[in-house]
Amino acid sequence: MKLKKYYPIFGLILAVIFIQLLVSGIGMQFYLTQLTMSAYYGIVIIGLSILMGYAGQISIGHAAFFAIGGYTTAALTTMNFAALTDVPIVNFLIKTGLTISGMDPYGKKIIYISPWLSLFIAVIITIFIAALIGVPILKLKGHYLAMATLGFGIIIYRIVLGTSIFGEADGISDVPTFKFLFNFKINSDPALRVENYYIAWLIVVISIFILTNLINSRVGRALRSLHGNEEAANSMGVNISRTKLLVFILSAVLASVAGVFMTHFNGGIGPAESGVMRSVRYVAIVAVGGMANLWGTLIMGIILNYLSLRGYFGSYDDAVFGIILIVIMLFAPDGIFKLKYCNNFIKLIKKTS
Amino acid sequence: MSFLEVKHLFRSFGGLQAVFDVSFTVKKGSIKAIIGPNGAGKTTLFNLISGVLKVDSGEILFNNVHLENLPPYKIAEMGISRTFQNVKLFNNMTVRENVMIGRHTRSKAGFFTGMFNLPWSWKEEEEILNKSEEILDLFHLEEVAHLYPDNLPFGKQRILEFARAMTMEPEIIILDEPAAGLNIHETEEMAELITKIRDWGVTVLIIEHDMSLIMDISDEILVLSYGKKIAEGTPEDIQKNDEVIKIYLGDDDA
Ligand SMILES: Nc1ncnc2c1ncn2[C@@H]1O[C@H](COP(=O)(O)OP(=O)(O)OP(=O)(O)O)[C@@H](O)[C@H]1O
Ligand SMILES: [Mg+2]
Repeated sequence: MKLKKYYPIFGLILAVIFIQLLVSGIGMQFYLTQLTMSAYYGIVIIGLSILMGYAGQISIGHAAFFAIGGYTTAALTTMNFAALTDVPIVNFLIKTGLTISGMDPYGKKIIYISPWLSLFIAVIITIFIAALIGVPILKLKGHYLAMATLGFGIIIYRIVLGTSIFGEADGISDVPTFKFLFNFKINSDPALRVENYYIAWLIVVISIFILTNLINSRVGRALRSLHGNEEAANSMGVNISRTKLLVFILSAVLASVAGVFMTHFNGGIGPAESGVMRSVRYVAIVAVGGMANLWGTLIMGIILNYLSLRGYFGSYDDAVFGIILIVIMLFAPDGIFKLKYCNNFIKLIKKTS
Repeated sequence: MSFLEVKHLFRSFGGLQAVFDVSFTVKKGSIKAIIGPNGAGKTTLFNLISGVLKVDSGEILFNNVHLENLPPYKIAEMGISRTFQNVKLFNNMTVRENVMIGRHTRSKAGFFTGMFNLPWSWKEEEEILNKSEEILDLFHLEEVAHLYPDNLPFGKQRILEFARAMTMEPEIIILDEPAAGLNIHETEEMAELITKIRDWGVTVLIIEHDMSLIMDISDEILVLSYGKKIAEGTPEDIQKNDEVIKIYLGDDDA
């Protein structure tokens, strides 16, 4: 087996450790919070890169899948089942250890669903919804697909905003800790910044490992080929609609899983996460990163989200991503890591001087 | 029982009868050419056989299995591969990867296997690579294997498309004007490759306007005009056929 394709992943792991040591070393631990959040957004980005860049299917509704994950886990883990212990299914969940019991700040007993179970349920719901909308809309191409996914994003946003169990405009807060493996905890406790940072990056590493494998596999070649030429791919034996649907679902699940973990990390989720501007931001970042470029999109995803989260774009946050999208489409449609336009620019200068 | 059998095939576009009551058979291991003037319905016929277009009526039987209206990928799975009149390559993948796609129907690794690079697929991946190298070698593409197809000269692009279709190890290969746009040397190379694969036992169905190439390599020729079959036979028969002569030289003495 060739290990060469994994070298960048080893590089990533080293960079993650280096940055943590550096940041902690200079006593700027609080940077880790935004780096953790950027990591979770990074998972959405690389999932979208597979869909848009490699398989050539645009989605301007990916924030919806992030929100589906986040809201599912937020709703399920903040619901108190203490009064419902007689209901057979609740009883069953308690007996099988799939619930967690505790006390609320007023000393009242609460029983809620284990985040592991809500993660699982979120993934199932995401697969179901992605398949349900994917089957009809993936028949569309180009602008039409863009509009259909945009429509889907708007629907989810309005549902979130209008439904009381999703907290309407306030969103859901007080989402409990997600007890990860080896008793590591995902929550917003500032004391646990380092461990949260590593958990988030571990999930990034796993995601990028999976996607690296995929694009170099038989199915990965098939999904790239349908981007290259659908008719030819079909004639070479690639089941176009099935392949598109599977990539769409995979990409949706990555966004959803990121949503679940981010929600536990932040201790809540609000409707902005499902907004159309969020989806546009993801698309913009995938475009800057070079579309069919896992590493390019991941790096840009981390940098731009980090800057945004630290507030460098001020109140023009969304506008910045809109501008990025326009500028990239005009001057570097292959992303900023392929600096063809730069060469052209240099040529131009040489000519005029 | 015939290897490939087309019976009373019809297909129209709006009011235009592109293929009208066409029937013929193809013998296993032979080279059969379809000729005819522009717009005769040759490409349409190929699109019907390869599933790109649906038939209006009629039957297409391959080893006695009905092909009509199956999706293209199913037809590919049955061992029929094709090239296109206007070359259709994957310009987002290297020449080598283009050829590797040719093994799609001959391998099985699925989504999960791919995502986790499961060990059982390693051997299959190796087999795909080996076969692709073999084909790249044979079609003299090994030096450009790392390039992207849109950087190749047109002749090489046609050869690559042919190579990709052959990597599948098809039973029948359908070639739509493989020599169109090629210079004399490239056409010669193409003719050599076509006869070479026939010698391996691959059946060839070919559309071509280059008459000397057609007369040279084909065992049987079918002539279409305005969607209808007007003649069928050996190259000698066709060269002597009055109606064919009229179509090709027609307008002068009309
Ligand atoms: N998808 C389509 N929609 C409408 N008309 C079509 C379509 N495909 C082919 N036609 C028409 O059907 C007729 C036959 O076309 P076809 O491409 O099969 O001809 P051909 O014999 O391959 O010609 P050429 O030698 O120019 O390639 C033409 O009149 C063409 O305009
Ligand atoms: Mg044609």
